[in-house]
Amino acid sequence: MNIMSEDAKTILLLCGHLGGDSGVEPLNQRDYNTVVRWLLENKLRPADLLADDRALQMAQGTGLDQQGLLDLLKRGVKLGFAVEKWNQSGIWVICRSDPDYPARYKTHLKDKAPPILFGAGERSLLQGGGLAIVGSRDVDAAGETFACKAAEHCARDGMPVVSGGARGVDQIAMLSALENGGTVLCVLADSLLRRSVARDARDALADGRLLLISPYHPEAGFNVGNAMGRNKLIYALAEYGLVVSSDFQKGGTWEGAKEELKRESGRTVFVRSESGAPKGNRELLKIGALAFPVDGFTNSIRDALEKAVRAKIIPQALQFEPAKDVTKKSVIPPVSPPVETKYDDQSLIQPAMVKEPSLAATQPVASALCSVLEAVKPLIIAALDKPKTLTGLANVLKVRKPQAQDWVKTLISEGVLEEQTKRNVKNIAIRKPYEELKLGG
Amino acid sequence: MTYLRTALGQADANFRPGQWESVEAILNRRRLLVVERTGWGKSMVYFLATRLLRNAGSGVSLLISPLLSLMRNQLEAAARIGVRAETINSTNPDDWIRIEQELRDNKIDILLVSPERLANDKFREKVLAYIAERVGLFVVDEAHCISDWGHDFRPDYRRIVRVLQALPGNIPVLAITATANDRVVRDVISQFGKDIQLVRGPLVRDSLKLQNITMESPAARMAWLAKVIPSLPSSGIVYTLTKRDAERVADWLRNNDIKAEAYHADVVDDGGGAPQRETLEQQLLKNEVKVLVATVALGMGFDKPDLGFVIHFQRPASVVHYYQQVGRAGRAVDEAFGILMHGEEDDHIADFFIHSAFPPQKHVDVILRELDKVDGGLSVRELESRLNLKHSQLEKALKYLSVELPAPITKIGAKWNVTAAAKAYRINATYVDAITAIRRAEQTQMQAYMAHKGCLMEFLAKALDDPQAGRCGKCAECKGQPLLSPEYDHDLANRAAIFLKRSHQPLLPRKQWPSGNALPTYGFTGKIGDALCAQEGRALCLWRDAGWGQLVAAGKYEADHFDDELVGACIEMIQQWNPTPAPQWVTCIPSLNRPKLVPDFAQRLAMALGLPFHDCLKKIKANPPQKEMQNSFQQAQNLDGVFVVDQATLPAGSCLLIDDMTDSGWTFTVAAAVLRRAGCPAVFPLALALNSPRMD
Repeated sequence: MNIMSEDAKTILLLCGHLGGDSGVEPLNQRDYNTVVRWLLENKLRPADLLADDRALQMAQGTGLDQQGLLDLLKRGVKLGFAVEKWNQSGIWVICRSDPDYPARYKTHLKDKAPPILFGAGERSLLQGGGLAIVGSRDVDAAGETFACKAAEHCARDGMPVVSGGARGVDQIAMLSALENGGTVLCVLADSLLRRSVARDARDALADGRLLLISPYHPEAGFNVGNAMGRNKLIYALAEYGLVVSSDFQKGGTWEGAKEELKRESGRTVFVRSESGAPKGNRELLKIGALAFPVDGFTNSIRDALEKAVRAKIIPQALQFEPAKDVTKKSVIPPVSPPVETKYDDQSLIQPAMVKEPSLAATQPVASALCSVLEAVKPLIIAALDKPKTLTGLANVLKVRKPQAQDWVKTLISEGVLEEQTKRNVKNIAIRKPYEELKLGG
Repeated sequence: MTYLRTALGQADANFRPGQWESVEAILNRRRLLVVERTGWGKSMVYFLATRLLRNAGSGVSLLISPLLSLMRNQLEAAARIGVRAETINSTNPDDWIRIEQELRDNKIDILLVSPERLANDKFREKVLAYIAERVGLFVVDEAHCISDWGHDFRPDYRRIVRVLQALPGNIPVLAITATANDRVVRDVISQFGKDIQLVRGPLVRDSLKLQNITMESPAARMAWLAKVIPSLPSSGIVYTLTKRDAERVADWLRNNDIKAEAYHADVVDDGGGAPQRETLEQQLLKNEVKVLVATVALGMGFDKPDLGFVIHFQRPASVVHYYQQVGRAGRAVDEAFGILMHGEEDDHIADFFIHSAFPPQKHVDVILRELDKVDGGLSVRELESRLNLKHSQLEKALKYLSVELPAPITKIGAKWNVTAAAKAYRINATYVDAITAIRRAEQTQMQAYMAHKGCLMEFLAKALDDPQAGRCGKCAECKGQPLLSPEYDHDLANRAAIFLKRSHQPLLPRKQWPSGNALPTYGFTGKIGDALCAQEGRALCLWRDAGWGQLVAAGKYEADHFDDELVGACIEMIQQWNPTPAPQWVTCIPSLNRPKLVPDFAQRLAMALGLPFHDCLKKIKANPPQKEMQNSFQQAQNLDGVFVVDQATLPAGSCLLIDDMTDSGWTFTVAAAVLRRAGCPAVFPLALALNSPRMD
């Protein structure tokens, strides 16, 4: 039995649409992040807000509408009905505070990571990875074949296929992956419940090879805004993206790819660039996408993609335009394979983390050492997805142990990292509150 | 305290032990299980809590209860402190719109909703959605139903428990029950999933005097009731296990000048406004009837302080069931009788209920298989047309499957769909076996109680884990002699036996053809209409029942000839029945397998009536036996194009249409329609036996 934690229930009360006629508006992403920051500052957890006085305190502390907040928190019975109904149909709910919430969303989306996810299927698939395969509904035969092949190779290589479940490329890729014994992660923009009982999904769900998730209510209908909004969730769950066919300057695929290419900590986006590929594909190459490697289908598709990423890293960074705010896109390599990087241009590389006022205040003054540290800080954080020993960390980063030790020491003093001793072994880990902040909550 | 006194209208009232503590706990947003006997004042706890919570700005209190409505005296007490309660259930749909509006206007303080309503997703989303956002207190009545091990298997409560587990900690929850032993209490507490306080008091009643009587034959028991009831104090209840028995016993008592009414889930409304069940409850409360003859439908929450007696006509399934029913007597009177009678049919009925508690695996298999074939699901009607399952079997299986977790089926709109969980789903045989074993153990315990030679009250109290169990000194065993003599009048018993035999069953004509095109050859669809409808008919008896039922069975399966005694019995029935316009001729349902059995009987009956017999209904198509068809669609379809009328031999005037057995009534319906279409002005069906109406 899946009993939700009190924290998760509280988050749902604050942010969730619980269906049907409603007199209150749940918090949007921005306001929710505000609440989380307040909680962290006051060393509280979401469940603490279930006490009226705390809720009032929080309202005062954040400036959010007091009555609105109280009304949201009073919705317990409606929550009970909604959760029971979803569970009954095999749909579970997870929140950012849950341990199996996709780490990739926290890492790559930070405070844009959705506070709530609804899902059906094997929860362990939430760790994600693999290749996001996307494309428009109208795709020619060549595109279809390509999508099929790409999915097939992913399946063979043990790479999950991530997609949006839309008609056309998405569904072709999904079907192909499943038929070839692979796993599929599908981020839906609508109708999660209906999709979970559809014939083509049932068996794969039962076998644990399909995961359906959505940040939207399980019975939400289709709307264009939601469809657009979930595009980044598709990319962020994967290691790489692959656009099979895109329109030029219109359509969900184009907008989604463009958004991903512009996004700081976006995934590398490949496009099908064989002759005959639509104009949209070619245009994407001009704004930062990579051509799908020619040897992509020769042997291991993972290796081919990996190689292509490494080959293009530096020129890729040069093409990039600074974003409006302070942070620039830094190339964050995929979580597992270590990448050797040489960053010496400070203007290109900036800390990828959210600049929380409280944190910024504790940053030491920039010095030569720190600028390199700032450069590698994202790599260190990424490498510490799971706590590691100092030796382990040094290996992953491919630096000498004393160097790693220096960096770790500084980061510990900044409150970013901490030591954890487990069974007499000293591990380095990301300090929890920092992680929450970095993740946006 | 002030509120309590206002509510009770008593200036010197005081809280019973545990009452105030309970209210206080609720105000502190805690969760509470209150196990106290009827009359302790459980409703006062949630009335007061509601009043105080509402004063502080809380939303409506939601009370989940199988009750039709709160008792009048409870409503009055609540009204005195300004607490307004309303009910939403299946008996008052006309009120729902008004109540919904009043909920939005925040005029209602407590909303009473039945568990079936709550389990209905559409209802939750349409009617409850708005108030669910601001419910301030969640109350679960008859909370022992939450326990799987408890004696009441109610699928809807399984969903209620999950709703409870999903509630966040800032919603206070009150669970109440008047019967629970330790195992049930432990189970309820563990299912709440969170820490929950227990308030528990003694369950036994001091003024209740118990006695057991074993009397094999129902006729003897009925004779005993007719003689003894008038001498008992005040008014009371006679409990039966089946609706049919409730009707018959009530009828019998009325024949013996006792003011009795039947009470069960299907009592027909008299159209007077209030649901009939509520009217009957009021009559009993005001002592306008001497006795209500009831099934378990009368129980939940009914509280009459001066109930003088509770007599069980047949042995209930368990001690906890028994106590729940008999414990209603003796609340505020000096003496009250609790008599348990036991007879030859008890074990058979108990076995039936135990066997039919869970849907069989093969029903589940065919349903899941059928749903898996399609995308988009199937409605119940569509399932009926594809599967040869009784409507009731289908509903039971669907209900059971829908509350399993993970559920192999889910309802979207009006259609049932399979979920991913269906692939690996099997009924949990261990669970079913465990529950069945418990039911058997309960049955054994009841048998032990019937045979018990020590204090009866002590036996019950111990079975309920009442810490204050001890000798009562009042029951028949303590006294060493019967409180009421088990003697019965033999003449009276004979009259009762004849009464049972004379239980002519009306056969109400069907008004609607099944949906979907079940009878394409005839072209019968939609309403049946006056032009094709049969008249109300009669069946002499119930198949294999005591009395004629045995004789009919012998005639059909042993002698291949119906005894002349049955002819005489039918004549008598027709005289009582007096069909109008009087039939002018007699015909019967033809059979290709047994061409002589029924026509031979029909001819003899016709002769005895002085009417001509005409064999003008012909069967032109062989078909499988009707009794193999399990639901309406299948039964009707099986008859398509089977009968034709020989126009040449069709006489004028209305007729008597004879068959040996009827079950669903489709054979009569189709045959009558064919006759009517051919020109017959009225058709009166007459069957020797009506096959097994539902036991419960």
